[in-house]
Amino acid sequence: MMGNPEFTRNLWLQFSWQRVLAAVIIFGIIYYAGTASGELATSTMATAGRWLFNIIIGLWGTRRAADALAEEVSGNTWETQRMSGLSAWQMVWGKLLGGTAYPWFCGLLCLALTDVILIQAGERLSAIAFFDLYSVLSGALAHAVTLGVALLLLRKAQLRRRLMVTFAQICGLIAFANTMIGDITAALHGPDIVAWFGAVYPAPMFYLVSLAVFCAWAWFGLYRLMRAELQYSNWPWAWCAFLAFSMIYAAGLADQPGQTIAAILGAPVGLGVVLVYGSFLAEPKDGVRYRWGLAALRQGNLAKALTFLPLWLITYVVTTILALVLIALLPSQPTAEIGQTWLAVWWQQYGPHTRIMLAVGILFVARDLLFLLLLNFGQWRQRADIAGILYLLIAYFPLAWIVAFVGGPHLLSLVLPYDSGNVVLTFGPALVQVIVLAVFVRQRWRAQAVPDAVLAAA
Amino acid sequence: MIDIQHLTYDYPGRRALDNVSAQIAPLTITALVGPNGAGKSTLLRICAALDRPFAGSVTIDGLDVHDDPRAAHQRMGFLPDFFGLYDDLTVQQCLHYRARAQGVVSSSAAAAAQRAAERLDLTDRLKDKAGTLSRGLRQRLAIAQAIIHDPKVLMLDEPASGLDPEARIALAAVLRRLRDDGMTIVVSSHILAELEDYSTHMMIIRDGRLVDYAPIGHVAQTLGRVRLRLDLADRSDALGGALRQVADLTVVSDDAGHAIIEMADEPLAHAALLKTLIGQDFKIASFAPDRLGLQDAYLTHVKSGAAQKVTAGGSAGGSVQ
Repeated sequence: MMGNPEFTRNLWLQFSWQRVLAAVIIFGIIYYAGTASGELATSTMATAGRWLFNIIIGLWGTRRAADALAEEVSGNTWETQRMSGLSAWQMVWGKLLGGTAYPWFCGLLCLALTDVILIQAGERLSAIAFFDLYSVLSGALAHAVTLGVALLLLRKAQLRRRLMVTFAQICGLIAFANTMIGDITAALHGPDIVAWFGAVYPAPMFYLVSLAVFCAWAWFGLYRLMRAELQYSNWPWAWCAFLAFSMIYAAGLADQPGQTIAAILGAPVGLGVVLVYGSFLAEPKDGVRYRWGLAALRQGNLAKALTFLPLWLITYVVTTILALVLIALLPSQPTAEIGQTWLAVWWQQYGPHTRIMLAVGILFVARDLLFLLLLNFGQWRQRADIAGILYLLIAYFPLAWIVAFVGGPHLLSLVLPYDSGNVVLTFGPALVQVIVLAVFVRQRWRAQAVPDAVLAAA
Repeated sequence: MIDIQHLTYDYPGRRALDNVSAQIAPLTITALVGPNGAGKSTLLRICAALDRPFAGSVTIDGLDVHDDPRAAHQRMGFLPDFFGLYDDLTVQQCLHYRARAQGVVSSSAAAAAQRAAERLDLTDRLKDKAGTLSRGLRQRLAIAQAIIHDPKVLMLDEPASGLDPEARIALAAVLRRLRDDGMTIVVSSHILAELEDYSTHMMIIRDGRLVDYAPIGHVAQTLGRVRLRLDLADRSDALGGALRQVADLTVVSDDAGHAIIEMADEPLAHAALLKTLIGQDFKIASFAPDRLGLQDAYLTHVKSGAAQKVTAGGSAGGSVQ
């Protein structure tokens, strides 16, 4: 590990004998205070110890993970790092483990003392090991998510603000809370088994393996992001692989006994929509790069064109194809054919409108993307995504209520996916919005290009 | 050493570099000059593989920098205009880290750090924290980091900005020494005076286009004129007036003891001028070509309108051996 200079540098910055000694003394005092009186129950101390670990790794660790990059940017050392001979992988784990080394030292110390208390109380070693492994993997995932979001913000030139650093930290915290509170509660106190594509697995093991796999994806995603930051050409195969994996994973969870293929397919479509918006907001919407990609395509250089292909576009196309397959597979009638699933609930609510809702929904996703793209090609591109989300939220909620209140529900299709019972009124507004926005986007995009006439005259 | 071929780069609505081509010869110090926003920093960043061009390529010592940026970085050093240092690390730690990050093997890193410190006169500061150094010393440490792996090419973006005169002089000496040690150096700045002391070549960029790339002094020569310095052994207030009487001669500056003139680069014309002056009883002590100042060369070039002529005909490519 010491062969990685980035890791070593972080250790130089974070570790001193004084800090190591301070951590050992503080945790020693806490442990002694908890155990010496003998009045505190083992479970209370174990819970306190684990919560302390959560605070150290969740709050402090994620902050350090975000700062591992943010401090480089604010200290103007990032360009120098990019000029180094360090590989993308060395940079990733050097920052991820090195930047959070001291919180990990404290967190693992805390976890070890908690384990001592549990072992003394006769807790099973396998249960302790499970929880420790789960905790460590959750921390590794949370830190990877934090650093990943920080890298994405850096690509969008937004990491210089402390608010954005905090945003990256919050994303990591959400991932941490989801695994350490949500999943582990389900694993320990929910159903004993989890069905995945019909096969049954012990719940704790399923959640642990899932966490390990997603943690590996997060680290791999970080590596790909770092490669892009170091100016290596990235083909989109890694994103396609992740898209396929996550959709298959979701479909597996939806594949419960008694489900139809339509219900199973519904899960990846829903996930696809989330990933469309997620990837769109994560990527910089660089009109210049889009033009370069098109130019490469025109020259027949497919390999180069693929490196410029926006990931959100891939996600949208894949999701649309899956949605169309789902529309084709959906039964024209009733609940009985779909089994007792979330789709059945949806069906009961919307009945035969489901197909129409799916089709018009895909159109509204396109509308949203074009609207956000339009803002991104404008003058205020630094704030385009946040402003766009705000406008869309207004359109989907208050505006929809006003339209429904003033004009009646049949006009809702003007602002959100809604089957008004009339094909023209249902699809017309969405189509018109898509076409009008596409024209505006094209105009703005062309305005960004260097006019050939200007170049010729120069 | 550096082969730049048809570089093109766009920002939204603006072409930052337009078909720039040049070959920079080894062991030269090239002053990359041009007005603010001309594309100097963009050019350097693309050469340093920190940005990818829309079209074109940069080859350093035979390696395309965008094919393998990491390998290219092991052959070059780059100091950006706004550089930072790890303030909490000592100078020695900064240098050791940088040596390892540039691929210097662990067993040689300490020696590389020591050598870089010696080259930049930092040996007495090795135990100091980077955050305690003065601006000039920080600059030297940053350059020491950039050259720690003994690169063949060193690129510096506005290296002297914020330095006091003494530090600037020291920087010029450092750059000359590095050139003598075998490095090819490219220095970008819009402050021409700071480049004058050490540059051997000048590359002019304007509006994203390469206007000229030539040895310093060459610019005026390409216009068919030469700058000459004339010194008198005996001061005479009449010198300026006498020179101004000569046809096709420009007096750049003059006083009672000397004059800088520009005239046709023809030996016979020079001989005729000397004969005229001696005939008027001026005591000529010396008469020799004057090295054209970088600032003068740049301004001469700009004023001559040559820039417009070149750009109107397409981008200029430069190759100077």
